[in-house]
Amino acid sequence: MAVVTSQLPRPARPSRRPRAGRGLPYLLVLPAVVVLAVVAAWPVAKIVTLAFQKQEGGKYALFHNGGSTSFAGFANFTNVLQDSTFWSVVLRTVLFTAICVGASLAVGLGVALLLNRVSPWARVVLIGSLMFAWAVPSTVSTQVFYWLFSNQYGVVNYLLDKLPGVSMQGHDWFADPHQGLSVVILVVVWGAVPLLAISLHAGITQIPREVVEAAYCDGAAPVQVFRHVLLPYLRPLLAVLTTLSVIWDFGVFNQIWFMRNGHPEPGYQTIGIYMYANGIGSSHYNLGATIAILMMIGLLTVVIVYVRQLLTIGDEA
Amino acid sequence: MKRTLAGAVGMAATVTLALSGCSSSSSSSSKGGGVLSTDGKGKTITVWLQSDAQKGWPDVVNQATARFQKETGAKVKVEWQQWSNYTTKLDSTFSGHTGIPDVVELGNTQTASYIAAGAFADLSKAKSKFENSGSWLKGLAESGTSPDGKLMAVPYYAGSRVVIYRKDLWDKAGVTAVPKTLDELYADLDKVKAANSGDAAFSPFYMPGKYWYGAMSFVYGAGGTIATHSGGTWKGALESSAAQKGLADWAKLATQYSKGGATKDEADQDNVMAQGHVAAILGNGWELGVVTDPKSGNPKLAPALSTFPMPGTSADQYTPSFLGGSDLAVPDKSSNRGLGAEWIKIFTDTTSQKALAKFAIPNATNLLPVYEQQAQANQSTGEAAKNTWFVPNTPNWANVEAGNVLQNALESIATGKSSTMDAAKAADKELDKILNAKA
Repeated sequence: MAVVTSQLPRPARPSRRPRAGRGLPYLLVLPAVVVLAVVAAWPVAKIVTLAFQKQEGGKYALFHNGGSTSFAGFANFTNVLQDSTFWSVVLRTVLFTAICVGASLAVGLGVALLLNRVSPWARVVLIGSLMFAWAVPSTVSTQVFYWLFSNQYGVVNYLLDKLPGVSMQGHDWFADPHQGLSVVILVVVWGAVPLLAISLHAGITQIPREVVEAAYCDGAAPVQVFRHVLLPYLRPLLAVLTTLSVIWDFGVFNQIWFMRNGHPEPGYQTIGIYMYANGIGSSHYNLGATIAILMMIGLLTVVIVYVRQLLTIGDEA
Repeated sequence: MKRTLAGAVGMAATVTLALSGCSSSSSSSSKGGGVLSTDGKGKTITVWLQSDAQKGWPDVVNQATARFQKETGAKVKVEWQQWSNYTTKLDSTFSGHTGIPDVVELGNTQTASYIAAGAFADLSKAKSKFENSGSWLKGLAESGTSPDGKLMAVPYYAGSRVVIYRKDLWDKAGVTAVPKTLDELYADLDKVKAANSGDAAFSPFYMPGKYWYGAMSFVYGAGGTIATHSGGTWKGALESSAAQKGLADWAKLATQYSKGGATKDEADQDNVMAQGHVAAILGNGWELGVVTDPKSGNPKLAPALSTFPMPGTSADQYTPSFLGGSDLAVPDKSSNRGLGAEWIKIFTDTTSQKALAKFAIPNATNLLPVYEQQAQANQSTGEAAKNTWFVPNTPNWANVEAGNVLQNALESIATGKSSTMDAAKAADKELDKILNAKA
């Protein structure tokens, strides 16, 4: 990003205005702070409180004490962390996220390179289609993919069945969670590619042409140009996109929830689903809040690495 | 960094959404509940009904509301609800103090946990004023009664499941009489299957793998039960030999006579039947209308569809049907409890229930004849409503449903991943854990 902006002419400095008191900036920033406090800080504070309060089995406390129960220290955390299901869910989520992020970045970069090579009209058609794909809500795309992979009337089974030696008649993609999650990954990647491809395409167009030409003149092969010229230029952008993708894919919910018609089997439970099923779905809001906090901590630890990298890149530029 | 936080917060938003209704002020007072009131001048009551009524019998609601308005002078605002995530909505509403409706509809498997949580007003004192309260359907009346015998929710309507089948396909296969036992059913299905062997997608009896209302009927039919209760402890009972026999009966339908539904629930079985490759399903009487719906179904099938109660292991008894249904309750925190109860009284009286009987099973046995006169399907469902089963009546049951315990076990049987015994063992273990959780 830093590279991109450094190409642009700097905007002229606004002319100095007479001082209107030291409090003015704070006053101006106040509405934003209030909005943030209401929509972000308060819910987070509420979640933290809930996580440290006792999880009752019934709903009596919920309806009669406004949801407040006595504080229970780290009891909810020990409960969740000692549950072996939680750890298998975490492992599944990490793998799921890694595959989704890797695949969507790879495909996105591929499409971006393609966009850069094709003729203008083809580029317009491609970007147009990408935009359409992007505009489809995840609930709709999930339903469409569910139909594509339907065991009896799905077009995927029909086409695969046409291949010599392959019998897919009535094959149920969702009987095995690994196959089922692969279909989910397909939907997630399909939905993620448009933004990644268009952003990366924009990034590539910002790379000075003479640098690439110089590399070719020096006898670099296309692969070498890609590795040693394009990639270094794209690194800051890739770092941002990876960070965002990790955040999105770690919390994937709709695609799994709707692919399993609101009843995800244990083998389909990633952390978001697990939190919903064990928290909200079972009216165990304290446990749900605990899982949510663990989820936030986990995500922050992973993402912090990328954000630090981002900051150092910013300093270099 | 801010971006990261925002993302994490966004993810947590799912939780907060449901929690935002929570407030921390003190609990409600308990003004003498259950007394009917007709003093409603200038007041408006809010009624939460599921959209089944909006789609199926809006006129029944309207006539009750009109009579209520005439009698009390109060206005009625009906807010239509959806079943999905309904308990989450109820939880967040009841935990707050504003926006509390004066009447709510609940599924009869959902009531127990709310009764235990003290969410509803006690209507016991007014029970004798509710018409037909002496002959309310047992399954519904029990679901609305607290463990110590108080009336907390009033029966609204019920549904029972029967076999909906394609008479044309059965006739063509040479099956003309309705089967009297399960063995006869299997033999008939074999004939239907053989007559349609050219169709690779054909199901003589479509039985989705997650259809737990269906599967448990066979468990109860074989003399089994989901869980037993003794000495204050629940015990999952799917491993018992009777339950195993029932699961095997169900598995036969799900694996030998059903195609393509192993990982699905029954939600879209009517649309599947409308496609034309299914000769029978197990469904509610009103599902006939969904199969033949001009928009989403296939109206051409209408003359070919017929029903019969699911036969049992012997000719003298049907396989019991799950008694699904709804109750109506007055939230304890409602500010117009007397008026709410009065509206329920009118909406569940003989006049309303006779009108409702055209669409669903009314709430009392003495009204069943009205229902059965309406259509052929109603005779089967009315017949099936006489022999029914119900889920273990404990506040913890809702979490068995929320945890998909039975659905997961059944799916693993239907996909051939587990034997009925292995699936039952896993499910019983979960049942023991969830049903015995401390309230």
